[in-house]
Amino acid sequence: MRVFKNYEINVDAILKSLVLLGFAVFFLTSFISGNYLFYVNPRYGLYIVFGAIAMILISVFFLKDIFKVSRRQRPNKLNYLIFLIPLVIAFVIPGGTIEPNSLHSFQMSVEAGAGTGDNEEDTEKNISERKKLREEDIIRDDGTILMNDDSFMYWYEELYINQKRYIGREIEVIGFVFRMDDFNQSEFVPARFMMVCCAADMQPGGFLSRYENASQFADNSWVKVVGTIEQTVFRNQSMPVIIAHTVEQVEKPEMEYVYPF
Amino acid sequence: MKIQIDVITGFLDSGKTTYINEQIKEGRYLKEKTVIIQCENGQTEVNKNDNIYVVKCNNENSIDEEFFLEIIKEHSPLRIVVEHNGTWSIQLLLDLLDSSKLRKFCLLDRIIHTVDVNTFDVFINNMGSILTEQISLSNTIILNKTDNFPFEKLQSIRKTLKTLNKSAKVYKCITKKESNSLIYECLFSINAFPRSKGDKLFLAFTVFILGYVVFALLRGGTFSFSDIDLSRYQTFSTLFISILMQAFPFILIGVFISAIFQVLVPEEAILKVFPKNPIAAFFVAITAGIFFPICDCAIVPIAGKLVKKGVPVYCAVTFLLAAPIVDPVVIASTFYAFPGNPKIAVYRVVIGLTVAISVGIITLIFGQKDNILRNNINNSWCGCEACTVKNLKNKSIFNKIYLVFNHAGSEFLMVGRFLIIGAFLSVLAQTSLPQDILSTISSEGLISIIIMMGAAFFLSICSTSDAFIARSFTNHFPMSSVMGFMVMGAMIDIKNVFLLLGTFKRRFVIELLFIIVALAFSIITIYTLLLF
Repeated sequence: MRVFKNYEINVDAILKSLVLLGFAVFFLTSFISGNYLFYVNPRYGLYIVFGAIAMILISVFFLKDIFKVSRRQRPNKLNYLIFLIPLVIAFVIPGGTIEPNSLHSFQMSVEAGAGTGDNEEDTEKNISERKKLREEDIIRDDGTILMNDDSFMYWYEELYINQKRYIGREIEVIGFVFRMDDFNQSEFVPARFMMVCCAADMQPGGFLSRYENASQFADNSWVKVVGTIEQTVFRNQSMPVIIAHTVEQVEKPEMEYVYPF
Repeated sequence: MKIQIDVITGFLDSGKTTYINEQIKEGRYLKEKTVIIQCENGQTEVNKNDNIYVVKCNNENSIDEEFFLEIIKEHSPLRIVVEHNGTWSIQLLLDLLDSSKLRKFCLLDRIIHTVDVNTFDVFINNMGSILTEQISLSNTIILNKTDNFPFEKLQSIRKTLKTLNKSAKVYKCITKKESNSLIYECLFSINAFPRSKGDKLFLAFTVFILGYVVFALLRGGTFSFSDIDLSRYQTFSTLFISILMQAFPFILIGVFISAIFQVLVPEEAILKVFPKNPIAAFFVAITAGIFFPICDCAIVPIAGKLVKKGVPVYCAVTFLLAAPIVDPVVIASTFYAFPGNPKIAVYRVVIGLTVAISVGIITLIFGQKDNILRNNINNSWCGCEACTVKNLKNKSIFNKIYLVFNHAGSEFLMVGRFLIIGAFLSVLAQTSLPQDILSTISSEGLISIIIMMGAAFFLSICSTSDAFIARSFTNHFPMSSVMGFMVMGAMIDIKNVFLLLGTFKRRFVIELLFIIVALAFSIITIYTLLLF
């Protein structure tokens, strides 16, 4: 009916708003539940909230047009279909921790932090200032170096940079068992996934460890390794190695990833 | 019964009055009392008769609610035909007719645009937005003076019209020889087609999802998505969503800056920032990046906006490539990634800028004069109001805020879908290629530079963090190829190519990509010989 033409509902505006609101809801719920940490580094938390608020505001402004007849091009719904794909995926397949063997190893791992060898002291200062870690959180009373959720990245960089200084020190690491093709029976890495930016750039990182009965621990199982730091040459590269005294199975930590920065 | 309003647009001599006369002749306006408002003094006169009144109007500003209300009071017509002036804003007229006061009495029936096919090309190239606005808002388009007009040219006009307006009915006016009268023959009408391809896919997708849910409900009693084993796809899903989650906020920042440029900053102000002298312009293009410390994906819409505002293409390209290189966050993260080796960060900036400027110079020398923006024929590239409304200066503050959000939203949806495709392909490459592919390929010499540039392209890692990934390559690859990774990765990657496709023409993006790859490769090779 012609008469009602001016009151026709603007489908285009509704679809636009729904797409944006869908993403906003997903962003907000992930932020509130903390699930966003599966996807991105925590430093993006505020950006996500900003994004959600921006999308909500935009969709409110779009909704203003609902009863305004759109005389412009008829919307091609294919455009919105593309947005629906990630939305459906995001809600149907919730993000979770990634199995190490399913992640493509574009990134090399064990020796990831290496490269520069021994260095000046000011670099060390930089790192510790940056991380703002308290001494008691990263070193036990008896002098054992503690690599936990918070201090993993600190020690990871520190031990590679100042290898010589820590030879002979005790160390305690929690990580998942990670092996590469050229490891021998007693070698493995108690590794953590490091997320620099988002899940797409995750890479496993950790120190090569040697333990006589290492083969009894399956790939990807979580272990606590206690041992002494030594220096070794692996793949023509000098790097720290943990000579393990004890290795025991542990529960996987609540947050499996570590975040540099 | 409300008063029906027809609006007829088109330039002087395009056949507006002729069309009205034909309609009168055919009896369309005979039975009902009709007022014709003529805003233009054309060559043809309206054939008056008892039921038809002609009102002349020569001043755009005199057309307001009162003007219409007075006509309605004086003549109480059943139909008003507005023969609009081709140089006045059609949007203003339509807004007026949409106002609540007039909507009580009137109803917009047809918006007709008449085209003189012989002058169409000249007008569309020179009149730009005035004409495209009229075309995109019409629901009926009349092609006039088509006798003896070559068929191929008519086809190209049809194609142009189709890109501007997908829903209008298009008629061709032909002279009937025996009676010397005009006939309007329907050429094509998109409305006649049942559904567009997109609609069909959309429908199929919705049906599929609904069907799936119903099927699961019938089978399992209670339905829960978690019943289905989707863990196989979890890696893919997590990586895919993570790229979007990380990039969306930055793209939003980008489109908001772009929208503010569009709505609030006059073109002259932006053009003033970029000097005429190419050397000075290069300097501005490079340093401008320092003031946009945002992710590389946010730069694309801003660069597109610069081109649209009239900034030379070479400036915009240099800005596009240099911005992620000189971004303070990127420089700082490179310092952190290679502690104790600040030279790397310096090299990255120097090499990156060399590439950016070289690409800029090549665009300056060989750049074609054509418009490189997508949908270049209409300025309304994103189809939103802010792009088509000309006189933004008269708008109130609320109106401007509305336009900023509207424009930002439209552009986000435009660019975002390309990002989604880019992210999808990038994650597909990451999860499906054989493991350790990089470590098994030769890591010697020049080939390794190509490999690392390719890796940077397909991994699409955000420029603010790729230095950390680059570091992990240092043991396997020579420094030169790691540099290739960092320079290439910051400037362009698969995600950005798709983002660029959302803003620029396909041909331009492909050419740009080739130029960047070729130049980046040769410049890195030269620096390798000099430095490493």
